[in-house]
Amino acid sequence: MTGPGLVAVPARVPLRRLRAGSRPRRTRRGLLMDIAPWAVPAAVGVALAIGAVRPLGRLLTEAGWAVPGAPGHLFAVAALLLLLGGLAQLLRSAGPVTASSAFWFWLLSAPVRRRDLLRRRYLVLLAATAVLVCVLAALVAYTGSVPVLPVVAAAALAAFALAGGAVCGQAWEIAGHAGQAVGQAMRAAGVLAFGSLATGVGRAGLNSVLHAPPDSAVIMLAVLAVIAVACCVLGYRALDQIDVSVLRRGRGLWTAGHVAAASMDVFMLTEFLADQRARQVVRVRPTRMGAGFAGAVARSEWARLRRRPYLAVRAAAAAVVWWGCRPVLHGPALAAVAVIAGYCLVLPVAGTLRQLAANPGLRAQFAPRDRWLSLASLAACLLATATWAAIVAPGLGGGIVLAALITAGLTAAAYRTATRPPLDYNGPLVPTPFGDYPLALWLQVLRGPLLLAVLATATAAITARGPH
Amino acid sequence: MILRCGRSRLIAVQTPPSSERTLPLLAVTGLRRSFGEVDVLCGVDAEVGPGEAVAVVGPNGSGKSTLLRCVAGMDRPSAGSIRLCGRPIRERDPQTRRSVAAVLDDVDFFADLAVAEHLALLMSAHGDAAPDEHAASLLGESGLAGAADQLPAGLSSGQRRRLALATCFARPRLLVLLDEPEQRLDSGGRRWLTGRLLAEKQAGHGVLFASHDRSLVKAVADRVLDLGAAS
Repeated sequence: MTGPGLVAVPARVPLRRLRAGSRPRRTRRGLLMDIAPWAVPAAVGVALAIGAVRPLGRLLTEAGWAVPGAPGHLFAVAALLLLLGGLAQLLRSAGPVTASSAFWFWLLSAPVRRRDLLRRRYLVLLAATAVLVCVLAALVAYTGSVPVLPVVAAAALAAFALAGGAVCGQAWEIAGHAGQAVGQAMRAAGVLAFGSLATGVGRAGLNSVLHAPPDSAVIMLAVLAVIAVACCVLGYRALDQIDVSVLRRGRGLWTAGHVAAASMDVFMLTEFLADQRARQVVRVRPTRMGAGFAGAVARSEWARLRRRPYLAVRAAAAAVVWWGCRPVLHGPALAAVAVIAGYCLVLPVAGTLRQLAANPGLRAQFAPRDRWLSLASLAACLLATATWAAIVAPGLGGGIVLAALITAGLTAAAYRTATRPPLDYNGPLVPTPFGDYPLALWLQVLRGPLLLAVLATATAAITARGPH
Repeated sequence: MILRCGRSRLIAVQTPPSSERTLPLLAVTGLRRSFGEVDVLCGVDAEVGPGEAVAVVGPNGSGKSTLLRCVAGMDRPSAGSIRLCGRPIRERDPQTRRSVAAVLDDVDFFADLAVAEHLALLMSAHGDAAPDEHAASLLGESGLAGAADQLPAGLSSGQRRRLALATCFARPRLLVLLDEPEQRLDSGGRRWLTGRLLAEKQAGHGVLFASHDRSLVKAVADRVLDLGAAS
């Protein structure tokens, strides 16, 4: 079917054969090698999560807190809302149907009906989104002891609606605001639901909703199904209106995410996101540096920190996690939560340190006083960890010794993580069932988290001895 | 003044009289750099004296950037020596980093600092008593006055290039290393760059730069090192 100025995809089968022929033939071993870097950590993570479900549920029950089953329901709802919110944000940032440079350069620039070229990608997007959400929905339903089937069905329909709606949004150029608002609203709802674990606000109401009669659940699923079908159809029809700029949008994020995963270095992704955010902000009010170098360093560090709004969001999330877990977790488990939440909170504060460590060119600009900038960043980390330790140490039943240990340990772990050297591909290789991996990669992965594990163990040991 | 390369030749020589010669700022002797079995640099010898500019030219892949990276201490040569004021050059040495201002292909900026803040912080780090005023002056000179409050990510590629070059001129230095500094600059930017490099020479700084711009080389360079002459 062609419209004015459009032509049908010419000889689609030969084109597909040509493209398939130009690709190197992939062996099963090669395919396994490609999948392994993603699949192995994912499988380990899911296994750990499933392993943690029962102990967590037992802890929740033994704590004797709230109506039986209510915390689990809340956890399931919060996790789903967080997940869908993150997915909405990802679809907005990545572009709903991404296309590689070669694809958009060689194929999308031709006067071919775009819907014909993007149809398979669209279906893959719908399927991948639904599968991902279904797996995680099943996990959180299992975690929360909620009936699995209705939750999975509702999550799958919501995923279809979200993916189709994201394509519509990009085509109609409304996703910039609407998608962001939806994502933020969903995540805010998730945080509030998790926060209600601690406070008990709205617990009874949510519990009654989750135990609503089956008819209500059927009606809700039917409504969701109608919305999902409508979004999918509208999304398909909108494929023709998507322009190349939208399709290219996700390429950078995809590349950054892939590189970060392959190098097991989350900074590679966060730096890309910081760069994207800076492109949106463009102009700021410059701070006067003044004459003294120490003052200039302090002012520049403060300027950089206050221009990162997500730090405040992280601090709020860490506080919610801490206050949410306090009533239901005790001793070593609570200590581990405090240490890991503190690490996630402090790591972005070490941004200056990371940039200087990773960029010899930037270091050379400030040489030989670049170390002072690193020290200022380290001091900011120390301040953040000290504040965090002052908040959590009393809750862990520890005194000043525990606070000092957490402060020093978290700062050291953040420092080790931020100052990872670049990968040395010339170093020795470690044989694994999935191929040979550079030893430096393992050393990098362990560099910060190993210290964090030691700190968590030490904190747990001190906490297990009881209040000081 | 000797300028000799294993597979290169000297094109233009404006050697000062022997009575005016001084100790070379930079002395490169027998520099070799190999990547696997590929020899990128084969026994390069070069000297840069105070107030001199040496241009490195050659086709793509002839080793211009590799030479500059080795001199800046960002890359380790396979053989040969590089001396700055008679001392072996080492990137870890604060004295080396204090003396060499380089703009190679790895220039980066703090994503959260505005252009003016970046330059002022840089000047403050190098002991400037009035960094904000001097940064504003340098921004005006380099054509970035209107972008003083912008974050680096919001700059155009040409503006980023100007900022990178400005960071080079905002700090104390003995030797300036530039890798194709004219790239992405408009005609006004190239005029500014030419004037700046001539001022560098007058101030007694050594300049070693790689370039494909013949007019820039002709206007600034005292000597030309052609790394692609033998290929």
